[in-house]
Amino acid sequence: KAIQNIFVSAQGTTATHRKLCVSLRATQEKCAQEGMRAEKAFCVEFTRCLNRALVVKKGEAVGDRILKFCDLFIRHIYEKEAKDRKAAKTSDGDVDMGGEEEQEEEEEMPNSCTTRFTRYLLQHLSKGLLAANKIVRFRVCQFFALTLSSIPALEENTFANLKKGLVRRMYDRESNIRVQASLALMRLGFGVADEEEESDFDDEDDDEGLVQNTVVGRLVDRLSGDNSADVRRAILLNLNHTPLTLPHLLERSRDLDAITRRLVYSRTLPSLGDFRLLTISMREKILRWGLQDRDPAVRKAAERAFVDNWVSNADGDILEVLERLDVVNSKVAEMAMEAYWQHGNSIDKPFGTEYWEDLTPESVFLARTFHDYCRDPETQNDHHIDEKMPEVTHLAFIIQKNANLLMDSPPGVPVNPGKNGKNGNVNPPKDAAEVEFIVEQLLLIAMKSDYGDEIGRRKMFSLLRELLAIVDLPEATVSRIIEVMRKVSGGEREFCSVTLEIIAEVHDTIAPEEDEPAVDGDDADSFHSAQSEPEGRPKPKAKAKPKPKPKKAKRVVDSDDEMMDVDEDDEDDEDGEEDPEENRAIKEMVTNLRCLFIAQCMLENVEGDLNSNAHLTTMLNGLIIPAVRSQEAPIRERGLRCLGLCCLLDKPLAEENMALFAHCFNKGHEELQIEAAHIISDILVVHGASLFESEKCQIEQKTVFKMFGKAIKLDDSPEAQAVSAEVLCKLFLAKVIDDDDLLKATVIAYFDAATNDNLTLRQTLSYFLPVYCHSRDDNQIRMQRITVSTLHTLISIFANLDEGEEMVTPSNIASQLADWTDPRKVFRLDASDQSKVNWDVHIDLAADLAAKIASGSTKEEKKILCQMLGKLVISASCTPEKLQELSEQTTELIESKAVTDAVSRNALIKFQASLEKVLAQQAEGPGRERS
Amino acid sequence: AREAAVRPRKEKTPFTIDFVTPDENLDDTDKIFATSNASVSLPKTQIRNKTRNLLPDDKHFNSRQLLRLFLKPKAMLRSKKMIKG
Repeated sequence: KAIQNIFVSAQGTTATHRKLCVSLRATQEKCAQEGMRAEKAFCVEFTRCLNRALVVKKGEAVGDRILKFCDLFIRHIYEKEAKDRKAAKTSDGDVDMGGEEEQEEEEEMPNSCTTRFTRYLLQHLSKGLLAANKIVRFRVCQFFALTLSSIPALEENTFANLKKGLVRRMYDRESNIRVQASLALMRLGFGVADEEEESDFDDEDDDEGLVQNTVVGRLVDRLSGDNSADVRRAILLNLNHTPLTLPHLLERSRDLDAITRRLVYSRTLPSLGDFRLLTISMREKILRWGLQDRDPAVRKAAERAFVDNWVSNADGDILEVLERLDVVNSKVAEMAMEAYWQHGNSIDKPFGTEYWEDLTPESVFLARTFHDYCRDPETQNDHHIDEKMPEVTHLAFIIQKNANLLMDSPPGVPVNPGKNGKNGNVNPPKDAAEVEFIVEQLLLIAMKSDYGDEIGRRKMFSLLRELLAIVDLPEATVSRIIEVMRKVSGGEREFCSVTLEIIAEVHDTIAPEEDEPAVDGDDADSFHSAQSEPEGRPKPKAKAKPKPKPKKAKRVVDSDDEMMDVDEDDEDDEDGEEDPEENRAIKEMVTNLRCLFIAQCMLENVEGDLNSNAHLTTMLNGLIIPAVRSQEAPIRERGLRCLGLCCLLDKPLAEENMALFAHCFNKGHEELQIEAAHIISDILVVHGASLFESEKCQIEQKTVFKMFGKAIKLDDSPEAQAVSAEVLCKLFLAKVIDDDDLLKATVIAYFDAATNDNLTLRQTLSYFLPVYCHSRDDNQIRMQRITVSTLHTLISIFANLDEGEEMVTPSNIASQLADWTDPRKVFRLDASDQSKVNWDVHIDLAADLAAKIASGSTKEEKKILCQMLGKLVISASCTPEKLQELSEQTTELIESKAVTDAVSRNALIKFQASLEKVLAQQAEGPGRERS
Repeated sequence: AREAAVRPRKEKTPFTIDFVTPDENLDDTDKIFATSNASVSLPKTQIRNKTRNLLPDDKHFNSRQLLRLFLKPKAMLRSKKMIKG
């Protein structure tokens, strides 16, 4: 018959489909004219042919072509019918009929051979949705996914029927069927708008709220719930954006599947139209996840989305985009800007004087990131950055201006609330956090500026020096200032001496107490004078004075005591009389903390030997040691950090204090423990384990290491646990630790169910372990040595898991261990040269395994060990004697009946066979190096 | 004849659908669409993924973290000798 022939042709190529459609329609119309019986026969024959395509398995092009042909045919007949009707109308003389009316008429769906045909077809196919044959179910769903959007309107019954059937198939066993069913539902119009639907599916146990019971709700649920990435992707790409679905679509930016994540950036985001439709926190998250993704392709797509889409959404105005991000509080904008500059964007005109007049967080951030990008030694093109940025002298002026603004900004200033009234509140246009951010950005510019100009350098230096003496400045700003100061100072010595002067000045703003000896030796006088003050009340001092000696002379009335636009002490005027002692104690504490903080920042920027720098010794003895002994915990802890930093500069000092830090680790609260762990780690990395050999060191290496080994087992303190793991990793990599038991403890901590929730620990170790094993042969050998006993421990942990606890299976652990000990994976300078590979590692491991199997263990363990043998690399390039021995060992094992179950025995026999093959290789060509 | 001309040019798979020959199994709709007692749906346990198929929170641990000092994050370990003097 004609229909058959048309189908036969249609399966070969899509090229002739259009022609075939026309002739098939002609056949159909002819049948329709002949009467209902013939029309019905047409439908029957059509479906008969279609059925033959339904059993064609997925992937066969002929099947796909037939379905495509059907889709085209359906579209064709609807178009044809509409055209015919229009033609008929025109010939009737209704020339003036408007298009609108026509469309309305179309929607009425006249009963015609076309609609009768589709109804028949859909009814027929919907029966196939429950077919036992999965190929049929797949093809039926595929048919619906293809054609449902081609059918202009459906009868209510058919529609409901289809909906129900397709929703069921969203939960099909086969993921490809789920994909097609989801697509079909979206073609059916679901997911287009968040229309109200009745919840008419009570047959499944959905007690997760109403949303679940609508088709859109189900699609959204499958978007995150389906285990097949294909299904999630299909929904991601086809579900329309509505306020309801959007958060769920964007959430896929953290999908387990990298391609799905990439699609969020390459498809979903651009199709959104305008990024400003997202809330600010959505923007932040989506950018952060994308720009930091582990998959480079995802990062690339995220960069493109930002640089191309977002920026063009804002008509290319990058400042506008930045204003839509939270530049002050998040790191996202920084990453985004790096991408922005790297993608070839630039600033053509210099940032003029007016640009710097009234800075906003965004404008200064723009200039700063551009400056950073241009000053980056890896960037070839410097974009004439020198001409675009202000000269250093000018920059210093800008910093000063903004720092003054910062001092006048109320909320961010902790110590100085009394000032506002007096100053008349000099119009703080930005909040303190913003001004602080602006100052920080300016300092970052200063950090990378060119100080070839000596006058500019001096100007900057003296400005920074002035700023540092201001006690009210936020700590983050202080830290930046000191960093820049180190850069613009003449050398480490000058840097230290100036910083010490500042500390003395700051310190001198309070009267020192008995247990707080001043930094400067000359301070004894002022110390005395302070005590003899009748009210016992500290008086403000001018901080610009370099020496503390003329203190008494400075004790003038408070209000006159302003040299700069800065002051710090007026609180005393108000509260001083109420409780002068307490007030004074607080002030003293704040000031001391500030001194220590400056010291800490300074030490972070110093690298020279402690003893060769008299300033540092003075500070150690005058400020830091007393602080460590202080009664006040905050002071003591900050002192400890400074002492730690000093220890990095001086080995004997480190030797003396190791026991102290260990004590803090053992006895301190969690934060102090972490601090101590950091200090100990740094000291050992810098000075090496040899410091334990000194007599001054009152604690043994063993004790310190054991302490960390114990700490990684303590899961009631996850942060300290994670830090201890990180410390061990560092010490292992620095070759300070080479202890088998500690490595074992580390591996166990990595797999143990108890650390499931400690993501930091897990991620640190998942980075460390392969790096450690694959970086050096001796590291890998250490891992091989502990493999069997570690696995043993882990197997017993696994066997004793409580209900609800989850852990990687021992067999997966075994694979992981086999991978870490794979000798081919050890880093070689020349990767192609296999002659240096230590092939014996896996041979030795196999011998360990065999010995363990023989010496007895549980049946389950034996099975795992036997199967692990199959995961090892046995090469003909290994030591022949070892291989021979291993082979004998294995043979013995097979004969000994130590292993009884079939799986293990087969694994052993297979392993023995592979050994024999390699032995034969060795025998025939002893000179052969390659396996 | 028409088929013969098309077929060899397209993919090497010689598979084509026979629309012409009557076939008892294929022509009976009920047979093709036959259902069985075995469930064609996902077992309940596999329907929902506990983690919503999301990556765990990335702590972005990297080599730089392993190579730097805790107290002086700007100084890398290779400056060891410098510190030692």
